[in-house]
Amino acid sequence: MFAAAFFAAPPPRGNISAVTAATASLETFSREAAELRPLLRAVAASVLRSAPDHPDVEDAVSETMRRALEGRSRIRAGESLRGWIVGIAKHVALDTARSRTRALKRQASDAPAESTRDVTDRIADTKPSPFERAARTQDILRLESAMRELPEKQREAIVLFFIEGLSYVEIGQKLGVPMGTVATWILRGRRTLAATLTERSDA
Amino acid sequence: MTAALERLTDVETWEGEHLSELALSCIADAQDVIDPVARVHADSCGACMMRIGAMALESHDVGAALRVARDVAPAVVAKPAVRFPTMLVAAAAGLAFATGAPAMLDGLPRVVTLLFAAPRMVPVMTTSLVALFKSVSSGPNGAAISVVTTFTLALIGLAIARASRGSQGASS
Repeated sequence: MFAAAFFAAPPPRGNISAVTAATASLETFSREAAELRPLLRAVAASVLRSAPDHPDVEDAVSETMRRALEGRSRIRAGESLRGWIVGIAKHVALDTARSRTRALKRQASDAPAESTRDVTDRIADTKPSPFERAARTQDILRLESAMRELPEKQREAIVLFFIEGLSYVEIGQKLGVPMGTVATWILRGRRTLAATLTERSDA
Repeated sequence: MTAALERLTDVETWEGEHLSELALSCIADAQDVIDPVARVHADSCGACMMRIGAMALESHDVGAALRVARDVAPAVVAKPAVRFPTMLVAAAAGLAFATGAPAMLDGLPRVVTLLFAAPRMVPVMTTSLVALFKSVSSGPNGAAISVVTTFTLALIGLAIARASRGSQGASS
């Protein structure tokens, strides 16, 4: 029953809260994950560089939903559902992109398809992304430096959003500023940090 | 807070026919803060959806890096240290001074007398203190006192170093 709701069209959106394995029932999880479906479509379309209504995009979203439902017990305490499920969508879409590339190569070389199929086609990508790998090295100091250079309020908003898991509205209430201001701080701060991470992974 | 303040305004939401970067960022972060018309546009406009996807990936990567940073170097995401309430302390000191001024004026003659007596008192007190310390350090417990003093000074130095490092981390 819940699975049917999970794969159905998204219900009207509510405030999407951080869901933890400890607190989320299957019903809550399914509802909140379904609310993220348009976002997952956007992520898949962006990774695959395809139109949002492309069949590959829809397949990737469905696969993401399936993996999320099966692996929901792996959400760590305090981890936001959005971040977790976007991570799955990214990996699923990257898998799809790789499969596409290999299929194109096979077509080009006219190689037999199934017998020589690369085993990696069937293996989920469990490797950390370049961002994650880089963040685990000593280069983390650069991230620290970038954080230190952010204006204090911007930095505080970034920490409250990405680490504490508060929503924009909650951050605005906590810091005593309008939600739009929080949104601007997070947009700018995230852009700065992403630029730092990109520099790092390019280096 | 009213619902109106929890949503972006039209000016903040739109940029011509498409959604603004701010609105796209809110959607990418799964924040329910834009109006339904903008939401429908986000779900139906291919260009906006691609940008939302890119931003969601960026947000995911930044969040992942910050969480790793928190585990490896907690100072990166540590909350800023609580600032010393300079203004409050100054206000309290000013208030105390203003209310205590009459009493201080009453005691002023005694302070002046004490100041004039100081040149005669200081040599006597200094000599007494020197004699006292000499008797203690040259006594049977002198070595023990030296050891304890050195150890205490080392502990204080360590505490200062730790406090200094902590405040640097908190302010980063």
